[in-house]
Amino acid sequence: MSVPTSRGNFGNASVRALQPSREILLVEDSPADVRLMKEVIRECDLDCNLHVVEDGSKAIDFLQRIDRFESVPRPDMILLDLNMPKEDGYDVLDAIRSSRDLSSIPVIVLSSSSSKIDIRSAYQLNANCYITKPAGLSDFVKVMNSIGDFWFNTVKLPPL
Amino acid sequence: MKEKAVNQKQSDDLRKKAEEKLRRLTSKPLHELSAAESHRVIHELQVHQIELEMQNEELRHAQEELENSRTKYADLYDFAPIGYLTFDENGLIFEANLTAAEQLGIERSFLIKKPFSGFIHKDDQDIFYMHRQEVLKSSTRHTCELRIKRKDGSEFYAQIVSSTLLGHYNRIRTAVINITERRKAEEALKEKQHLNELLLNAIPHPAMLINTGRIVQAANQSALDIGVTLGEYCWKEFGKCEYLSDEDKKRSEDNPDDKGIKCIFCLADDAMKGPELRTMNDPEVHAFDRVWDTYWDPIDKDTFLHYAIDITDRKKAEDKLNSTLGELERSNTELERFAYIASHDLKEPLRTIRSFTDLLSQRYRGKLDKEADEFIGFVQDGTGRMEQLIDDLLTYSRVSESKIPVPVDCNKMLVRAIANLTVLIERKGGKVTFDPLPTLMMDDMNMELLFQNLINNGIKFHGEDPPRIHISARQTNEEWLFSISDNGIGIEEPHKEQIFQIFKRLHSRSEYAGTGIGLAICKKIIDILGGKIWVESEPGKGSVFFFTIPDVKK
Repeated sequence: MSVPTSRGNFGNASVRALQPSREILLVEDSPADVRLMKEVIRECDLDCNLHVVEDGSKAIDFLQRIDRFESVPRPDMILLDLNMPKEDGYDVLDAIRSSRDLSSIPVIVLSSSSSKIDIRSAYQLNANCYITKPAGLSDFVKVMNSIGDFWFNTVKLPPL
Repeated sequence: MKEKAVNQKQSDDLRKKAEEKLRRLTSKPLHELSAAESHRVIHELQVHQIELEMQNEELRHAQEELENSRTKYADLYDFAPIGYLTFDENGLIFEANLTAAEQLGIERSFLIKKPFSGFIHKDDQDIFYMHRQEVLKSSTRHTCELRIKRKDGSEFYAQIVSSTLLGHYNRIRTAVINITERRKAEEALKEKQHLNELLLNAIPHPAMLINTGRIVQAANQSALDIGVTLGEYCWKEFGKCEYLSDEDKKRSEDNPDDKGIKCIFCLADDAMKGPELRTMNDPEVHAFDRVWDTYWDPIDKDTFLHYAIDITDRKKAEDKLNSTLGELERSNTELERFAYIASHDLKEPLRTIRSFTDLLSQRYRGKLDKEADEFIGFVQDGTGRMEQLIDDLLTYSRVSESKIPVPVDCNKMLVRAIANLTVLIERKGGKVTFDPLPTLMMDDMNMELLFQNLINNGIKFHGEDPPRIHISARQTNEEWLFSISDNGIGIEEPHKEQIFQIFKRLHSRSEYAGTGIGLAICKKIIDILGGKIWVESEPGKGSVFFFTIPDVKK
């Protein structure tokens, strides 16, 4: 399910050239949203490999490299949807934060909900941030650009 | 004179008897007696004489004593504290003491041979008639009460006690006792009892008067209704009523000898601080507030007013309120759930439509045909509006009563609202000014939303001139009156009420964008705060929105 995406060549090519592509795990059950995310990443200048799993239990399998995920890379960042069948986003978040190996991976909750309860719960489970999925395409591109800019260019990620 | 003649005759008779006795003493005439015989006779006579004189003296003495005694009893009779009258066989007075004469207000001599009925109140004549008949018939003592009318016309209540004279079955002796004072006391007592009854019945709770012996002396209807019985020991009665709470029951079981606890009739200052008392005398269970005991009369420390307030209705209302609150809570939870569903589940597919329409538009604009571009535009417009509607509806449904009102500085809220609208205000070249505003107890989010919607409204519906908004507030009686005036297009009279209805729009979307929910949100906020909102406007010149907020002090 690994979809290498790399597009755009604006401005900071020199910076990116020094860094390997980022591995991003997208946990999302809606095929439309998965496709949209791919398109959005295509639209913006984010150099990353996007891995997609469609539910919470698969996300945990992916992170623990179980069965068919035996040879997947450890993600630099997780984009997590909350509302999913079986294990939902909270379960995944809880599993990540309870694991010694995984707890340092930044988790960005990406949900269509703007409910206070969801926002509060996500932060209580130590999500790194909570983003409500933008409605329009251009807003979505903006958001993904700022995610890339902040997490890949501005901050230092935990070393492996 | 007559008496003297009687005495003379008595003494003549006596002399005759004495001479006869002397003749029997000597068998021959005195002149035939010898000297010795004469001496003996003379001696004998002398002894007799002395004897007689002594007897005479004794008699006189007895007579005197009798006389004294008679006078004494006559005095006792005359000056007895009650009147005595004796009636002859015809019912006429033939003897009366001075007290009786005084009672009847007439000289004693005038009483004799007079009928007693002349001194009896006309309405009480029958009483005396029956009384006399009874006495004559049974020859035993009888009593009655009637009104005596004095000679001067004044009246008094008398108790009449009569019996026949010893040896004279048809003569009656009667005692007349003035009972005016007793009657007065009885009347006063009756009046007091009546007053007590009135006062007790005026108490809208079961109430009774008890004495220190815990005997129920008086009780009002509510007390009687729950099983109180007059004149009985209150504990017995309340035992039936089961007037005890569980806590009190336990206390009484733990202290079986303490009647004070058992009957929860603690006196005066020691009123029981019991919770609710229940009576089982009524098919309906009643709840009572604590039982009170207090002196009924501050001087008479023997009587206590004992009452308990029936709070059944209040308890029922509380129960109802609690269940209503529960329902309300459930309905609020439902509403929140609905809001969540709307925000998440409803918006989710909409977002997908919007995003892919955007993609479609971005990548294929001009590559299909003109119509396709137009259709894509409609879809984008429709989804945008739908999103706005959902958001506004959510905002509207989330306007709710603040859980804990806090002091809210309206100046700060207004500044925040203006800040939220900066982009719009600048774009329209608008200007918002305001006078100092108060700090009120309320929900800060609501106040911000209120200002934001009203200012937004003023800016949006501007006229030809750049929008100018001014906000001010002044305190009236018990509320604050806010005004938000603008120089906008104004509102025509028939629409002044409609504009506060949800989704009510007066203009086409091509003229003014919006979902028509802003003022409905304002109205909801003001309704929750217990205020009023209205608009005064002159079309073409501008509008002034007014709203009031009750000045609730902490």
